[in-house]
Amino acid sequence: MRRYVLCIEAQSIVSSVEPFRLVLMQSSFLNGTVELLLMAVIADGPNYGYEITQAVLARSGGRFDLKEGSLYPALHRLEREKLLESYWTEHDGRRRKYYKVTAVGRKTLAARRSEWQTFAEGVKGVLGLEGGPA
Amino acid sequence: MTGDHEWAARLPAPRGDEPASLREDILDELADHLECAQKRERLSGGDCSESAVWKRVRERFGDPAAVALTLWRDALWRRIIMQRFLIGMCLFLALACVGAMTLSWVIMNRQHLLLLELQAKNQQDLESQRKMIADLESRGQFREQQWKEELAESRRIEADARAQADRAREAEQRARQQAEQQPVSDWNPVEFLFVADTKEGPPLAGVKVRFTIKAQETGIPSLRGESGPDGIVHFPRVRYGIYNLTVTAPNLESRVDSISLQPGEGLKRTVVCPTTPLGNTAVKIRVAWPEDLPVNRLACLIDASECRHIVDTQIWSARLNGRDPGMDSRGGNFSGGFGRTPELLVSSNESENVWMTPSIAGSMTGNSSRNPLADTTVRANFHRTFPTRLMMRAQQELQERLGTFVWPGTGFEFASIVVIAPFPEELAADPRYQARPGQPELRSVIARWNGDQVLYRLQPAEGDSKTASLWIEPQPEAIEAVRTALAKYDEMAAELAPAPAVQPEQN
Repeated sequence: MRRYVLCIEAQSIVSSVEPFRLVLMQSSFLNGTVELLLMAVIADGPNYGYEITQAVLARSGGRFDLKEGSLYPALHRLEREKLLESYWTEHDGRRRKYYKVTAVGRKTLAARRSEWQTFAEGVKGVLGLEGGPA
Repeated sequence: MTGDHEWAARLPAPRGDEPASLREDILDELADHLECAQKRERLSGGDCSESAVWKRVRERFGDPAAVALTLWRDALWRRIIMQRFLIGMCLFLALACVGAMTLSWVIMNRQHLLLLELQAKNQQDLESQRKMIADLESRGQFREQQWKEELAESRRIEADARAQADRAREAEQRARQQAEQQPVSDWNPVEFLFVADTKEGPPLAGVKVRFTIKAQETGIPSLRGESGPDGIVHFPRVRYGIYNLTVTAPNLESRVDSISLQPGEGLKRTVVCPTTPLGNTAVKIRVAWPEDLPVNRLACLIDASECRHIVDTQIWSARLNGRDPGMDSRGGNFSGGFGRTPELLVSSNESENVWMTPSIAGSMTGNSSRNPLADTTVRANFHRTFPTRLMMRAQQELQERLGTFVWPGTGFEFASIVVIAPFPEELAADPRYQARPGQPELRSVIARWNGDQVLYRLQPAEGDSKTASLWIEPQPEAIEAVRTALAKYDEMAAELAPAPAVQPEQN
């Protein structure tokens, strides 16, 4: 199975299978895709950084393996944009930062979800894949 | 081992504006993630040594120090940028302020210099104006003093004139009152008293008077009278008006006066008459030329119609032909019948003394087209005589005609004398200026003498000679005028003379 590593800084999806880091797509419609994935994971409930990476990997069927270090700049950016908010808890003697989606973030997530669905259906229809437009 | 102490030390030094919990929050969050990742790697069943676990965690996470640095920069990015922007703005504003202050200082310095120059110039102008004002004031005071003096003088003259006018007005009023008291009449008596030689002289008998009103068509005839032994000519009724009084003395000298008669006013006048009898002697007229003048070229043209005689400041005239003036305005002695009195041509050669008529000379003077010497410094006028129209007299006859003279000649003078010279021979050779057959040569006027420039001296006949001499003695200024005019005349004649013809060479 082909596995992708999401490079959040480059806003692109690269292949980790190939002997070199191949840039598959770098177009405007993929901008913010990682943020969309992060917000979708956090929208299901407050979560912290490590667990978010694991959730993305699990929910993508092992296809999207986030570069863990690149996760945090995206989370902090979404927090500065008021789409996420955070709070701290104590766990095993360590401080842990949890993120949750704000009301504005939920509205934005819904809009981006709709756009992505429309885009994905269009692409499937053009490629003759199942799930394309009727 | 999360290694947080190791990679946390690579963060930049804390900033003053950095939030207190920022650095700690970043480190705690990343440390929590790395701890979870290490647990995962320990449970994965691979090499469980700390170094191997940490190596695998870093492979999946990346450089924690770089991530921490990125997070720290992202958090402080706005503050850093804003701070740099503020610093830049401050620097820009400081530079702008410095520049503006420098520019202002330069402008103010220039304005200050200009102001100083302007003040200096104004001061100079003020000083010059003060000097000018002081000068004008001094001049004004001087002129004011002059004006005051002139004003006082004019007021004094005006007062004198006003007083004189008042006196004259009073006298006129008195005369008018006296006249009003007398009966006014248009016809009043006129009486003339004729005395001999001086005002205190004895009454003179034989004086002929003609009293003629000047106005035309009055119907008033001329009044004539002759004084008796009492020297009085009385006209009892004479109408007011302007009259000509013609007086002829017994010696045939005469004069004409204009007299105005006012209504209601009579007239009484004393007239001093000459009594010296006019000589009836043959006279030769001679001009006393100086020896240095070319007298053979010169002649005098004399208005011989009358001679003048001054008696008691009054001019009397004597006709040389002895006739009563006004009786005949024509020459009378010439067959030509010209309406002008004769002139006398006197040259150094007495045989050339002839009578001639000035009317011809006058007409020729205007003929400038034939006068090459006209419009020059010396007016050189033509005098052409016409023997065919004149009955030329011989010298003997001429002397007879000059037989009436004021004797011994005190106060005697001719009306006018002009000096004439022959027409230049070079020009006379020109056919345009040649005389017609029977005509004398052309002559030109080069000078005029008035009564002040000439003395007249009568020399009585001596011995057996019955002929007296009348010497005309021009004064030095008259001689000098002739000399200068003759030189210019010769000069002009030379300029106007045609170039001599070139003689062909003979082989």
